[in-house]
Amino acid sequence: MSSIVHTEHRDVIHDCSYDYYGQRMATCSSDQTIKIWEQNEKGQGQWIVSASWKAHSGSIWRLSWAHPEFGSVIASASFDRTASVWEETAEQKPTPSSTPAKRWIRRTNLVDSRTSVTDVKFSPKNLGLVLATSSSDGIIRIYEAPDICNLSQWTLQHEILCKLPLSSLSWNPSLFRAHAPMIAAASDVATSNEPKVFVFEYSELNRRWTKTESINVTEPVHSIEFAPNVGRSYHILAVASKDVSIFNLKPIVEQTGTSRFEVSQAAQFNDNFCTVWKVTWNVTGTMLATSSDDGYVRIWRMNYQKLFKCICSYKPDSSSVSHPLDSQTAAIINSTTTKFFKKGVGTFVASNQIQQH
Amino acid sequence: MEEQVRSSSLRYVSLDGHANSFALNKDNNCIAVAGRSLLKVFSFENDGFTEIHNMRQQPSNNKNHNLSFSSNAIDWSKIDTNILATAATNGCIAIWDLNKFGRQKQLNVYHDHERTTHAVSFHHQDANFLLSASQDSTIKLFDLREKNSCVSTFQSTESVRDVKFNPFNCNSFASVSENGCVHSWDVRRPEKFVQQFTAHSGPIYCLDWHPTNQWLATGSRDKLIKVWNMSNPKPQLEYTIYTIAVVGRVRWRPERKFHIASCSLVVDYSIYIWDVRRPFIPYASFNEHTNVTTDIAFKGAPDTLISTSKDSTIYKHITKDAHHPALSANPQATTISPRGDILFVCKAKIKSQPQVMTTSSTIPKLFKKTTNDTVDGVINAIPSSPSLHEQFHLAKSSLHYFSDDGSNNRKISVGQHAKIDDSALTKTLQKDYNFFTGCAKEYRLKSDEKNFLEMLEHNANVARKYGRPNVSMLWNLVKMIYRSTPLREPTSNPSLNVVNFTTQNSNDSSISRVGSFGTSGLTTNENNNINILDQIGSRENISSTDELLNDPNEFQIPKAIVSSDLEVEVFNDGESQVHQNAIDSKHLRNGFLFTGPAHDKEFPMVMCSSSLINHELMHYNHNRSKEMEMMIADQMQTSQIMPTNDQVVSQSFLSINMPEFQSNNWKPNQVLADCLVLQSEIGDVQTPTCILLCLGKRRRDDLPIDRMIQENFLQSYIDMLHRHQMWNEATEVINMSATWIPNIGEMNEQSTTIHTSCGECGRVINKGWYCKHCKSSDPSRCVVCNEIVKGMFTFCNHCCHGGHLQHMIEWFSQNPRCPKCNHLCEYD
Repeated sequence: MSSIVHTEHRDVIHDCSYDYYGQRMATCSSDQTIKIWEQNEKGQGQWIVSASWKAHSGSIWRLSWAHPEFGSVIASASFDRTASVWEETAEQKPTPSSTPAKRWIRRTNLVDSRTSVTDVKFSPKNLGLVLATSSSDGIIRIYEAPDICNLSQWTLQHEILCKLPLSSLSWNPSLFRAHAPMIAAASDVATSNEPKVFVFEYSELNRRWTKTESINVTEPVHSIEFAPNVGRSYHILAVASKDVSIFNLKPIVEQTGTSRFEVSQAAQFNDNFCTVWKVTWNVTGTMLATSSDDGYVRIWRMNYQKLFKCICSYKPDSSSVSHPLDSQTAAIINSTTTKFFKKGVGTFVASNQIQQH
Repeated sequence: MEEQVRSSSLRYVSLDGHANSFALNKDNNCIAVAGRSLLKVFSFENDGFTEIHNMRQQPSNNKNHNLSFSSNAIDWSKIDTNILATAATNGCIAIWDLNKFGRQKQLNVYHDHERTTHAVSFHHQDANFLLSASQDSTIKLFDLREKNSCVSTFQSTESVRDVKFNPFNCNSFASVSENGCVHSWDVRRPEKFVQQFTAHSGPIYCLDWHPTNQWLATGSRDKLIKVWNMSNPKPQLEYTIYTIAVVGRVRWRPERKFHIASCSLVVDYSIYIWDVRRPFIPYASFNEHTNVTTDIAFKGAPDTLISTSKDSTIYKHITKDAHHPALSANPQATTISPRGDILFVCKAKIKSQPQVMTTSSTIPKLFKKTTNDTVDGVINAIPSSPSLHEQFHLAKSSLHYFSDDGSNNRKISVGQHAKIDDSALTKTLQKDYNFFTGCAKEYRLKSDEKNFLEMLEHNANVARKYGRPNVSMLWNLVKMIYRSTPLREPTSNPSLNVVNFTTQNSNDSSISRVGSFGTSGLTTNENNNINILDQIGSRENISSTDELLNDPNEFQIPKAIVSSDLEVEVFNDGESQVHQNAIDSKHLRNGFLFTGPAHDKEFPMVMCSSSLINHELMHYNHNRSKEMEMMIADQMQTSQIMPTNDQVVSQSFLSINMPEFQSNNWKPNQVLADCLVLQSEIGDVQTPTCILLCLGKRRRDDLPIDRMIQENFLQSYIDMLHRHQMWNEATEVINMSATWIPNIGEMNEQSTTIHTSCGECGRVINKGWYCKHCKSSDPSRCVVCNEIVKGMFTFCNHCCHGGHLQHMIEWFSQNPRCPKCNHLCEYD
């Protein structure tokens, strides 16, 4: 079943993200708001806005949910050069019968970047409450909240310099203690022919992040994501560029203790023929969803020979039309008279709007 | 003075100090810059700026004199290209004539303002009129012919930050002040403003009149740029732009009705050009400055923007070199939930846009509206090819949600072609989800020794039930390997291991599985199996082989012959009729699983679970299966002729062994280990983990899987269970692994501490039910019957009173309060 969720975002939505359990969803947009969505019946119902707030004074590029162990916490990365951490708090119920009002409160604003913060990601939970941000000035910043009960205190632990403006980053999600903390970052700079994807690993011994690999993707990269490890001996990294590439990173055990990876390209899909904007894995790392400039979302599935096959592709058909000036001016006129506030719930239009191609 | 050429279109001059402000002459070929220690005039040349005047050449001896040169603002007469005015930090207004020489350039200085001046503005038509805005909350109008003082003073309510003559009305001007108010004035009525309205919630720092519309743009500390329609008696807010930082300057872009440039007073060094209709993301940005931009202006044409900055540079920006932040922003996003639902956000594609504002009556003609049309910004219009800036403001996203609703909708939609693939996707996703959760719930992981095989059998059935015959197969393989392997049997010489080759037939079954072709076979009790043979040979063959194989006796293979790593595993997917139809039956595709020899790393089990994969797989193995097919067919013929002797049958099967594989040793542990690792690598960590858990003590170290890998399996599986919110299953797994891998077992003991408190004194009881403080074991007494409770003790979290479960249930069915302390336990 497919359907359109009416978000009532007033500009382009740049990211949407499920929480850890897949029960809630967050969207962020250029209109500087974050919206949290819940389904009204368990898993089956319509998506309803449960919170919406103006979070930044610039476009919000990416969102990341923290592990629920740390509470309802979300981080956002924005064009206004900051990354923020938000926590949901239950307020005192006004009356016993009413459900407590939930509010999202800014716990911290990370202002170290001098340029647009392009991505933000919480680390796997075994590292604690750790946040990595990437920015256009080519620096990955790693923050840690030493006290997980106090989300307003974050210390900048590391700054990793990458030289190129970064567009995306991804933690290796493995929880396994034998896997050192690992981050991949990618750049979307269009010029030079140098590699655009870098893999960094944290060495407990030196207490430093070091670049272990540069992966030879020379086209601008818009999104990267590690697949969930689920017990594999190697790591899988999907890279969205002019096309989709999947790399396997197999650790090479060396006596010296320095870690190296045998990087092999597991797959490359050229058949999108246009820029791929986003790659995302399912929980088992067997399915990859990619979205490309032609408006298609494609699902790639790993088969038993570890080969990837496109099992379906969609082009959401925008048959529903609205007059842009109508909505735009309406919104603006609204804001003159009333404070801009979400009029409410998204509507959920039945499925006949998606066509198969 | 340096001069550098950065590109054909972008130049800068490095100055002695930074400029606070600059002004262009009416021909736009000269620029006057003014700063704290700077007052210069440059002319634009093809490849740079040339200094033509420097009014600060002579180092000044007079301190006062010096101060009146530290300019906050500068303006160039709109009529006379030689007249300039500067507003100094000490409140002086200086008038300059470029025709004069040396010190005489300074035509006049007015000392009217008491505090610093922020802005000066010449009149558009009358060369003699000049306005100045000051911190002393006055605006003064100067007539240049009147050399001594101003001609009128306009008293505002708060410090005035900027002032500009209204280009549409020669007697009117507007000013903005630090209390967030905009005033409009009439030059003939200095006593009171004509109009006042609160525009911002913070100080307003700048304003600019639109060149063609009666629009006034204001920029404020509240980070907003607001556009006001001043044509009506009551100003109307037309647009609001949400910028990143405090707005320092705004300038309308000539010839682009909706474009306005802005720069920031603090934090942000970039210059942005906004489309007022898209209030959140700039249309273009210039990021060259390395410090705060102090002033901006368009050089007459829409494509050239001049800026000065605290980094002591002047830049000439060409719009084609600008960055377009909206273009590099990702317009799409997808996310997959643990359930397999997919969200997809994409920017609505705009094919065209009507050139001008369409009135509402024309909308139905220009836009096809469908019934599903709502207010959301999904845009679809008539094809044409507008340029970037024309459609820039029409950006909206649509959010699509794919999920399996689990209802019967799918059946309804089958008839529509468009829906089939849709459901195929969600079916696949849903199948994965159901398989995982179903198996997690229904697998039995613990059993005593007697029921071990039964447990494996059960798990195999569970896997099959959820549509994963290959996983089921693996369970059966485990069952087979461990059927004959007693607990703790040393397996130092795996090649001598005996693997039973059994055909355990129930009454109506046929062989549906042959594991390790020629080596070991598996059978199942499925009733609805389709005999593999009916895909191979003819019906006659089936009947005869059925006879053969339905022999009620178990037969065993002699040890000596059991030696091959070549496995051909045949399984029957009871639920896969669809697949069978889809696949050309003559290739013996369905049901055959090929497992290559151990040494060529393609092994050991290639399985199929969905038709898509199956299809792929079968292509791959096409040649091999053909070969097998022929051989099997051969064998079938042979066996048909052969007398139905158990021994002979098995011999005939075994004779398929190919010579090159006979040298290899059959190492069940290795095969199993490889199976498990492969299973995990293809994303199914559940199966290997559960198999390892089931094996329990059989999971000896000789199973060649590194303990670290096993730990990773477990941890991943537990995490997956958590993700699916299957806490009970996860806890069971954690508990079971406590004796196996202690690290995992400890997970349950981390960060969970429950203290019990004494119901009498309220203090924490450390151990048992004896309260050290009260020196009694009263806390363990039932509050209803006053007996010491043995067994289940239930208590209120808050008041710590409780007792026998039964007693408490009875009590609270009638009373909401605690029997002992009257605490309202019921609501706690």
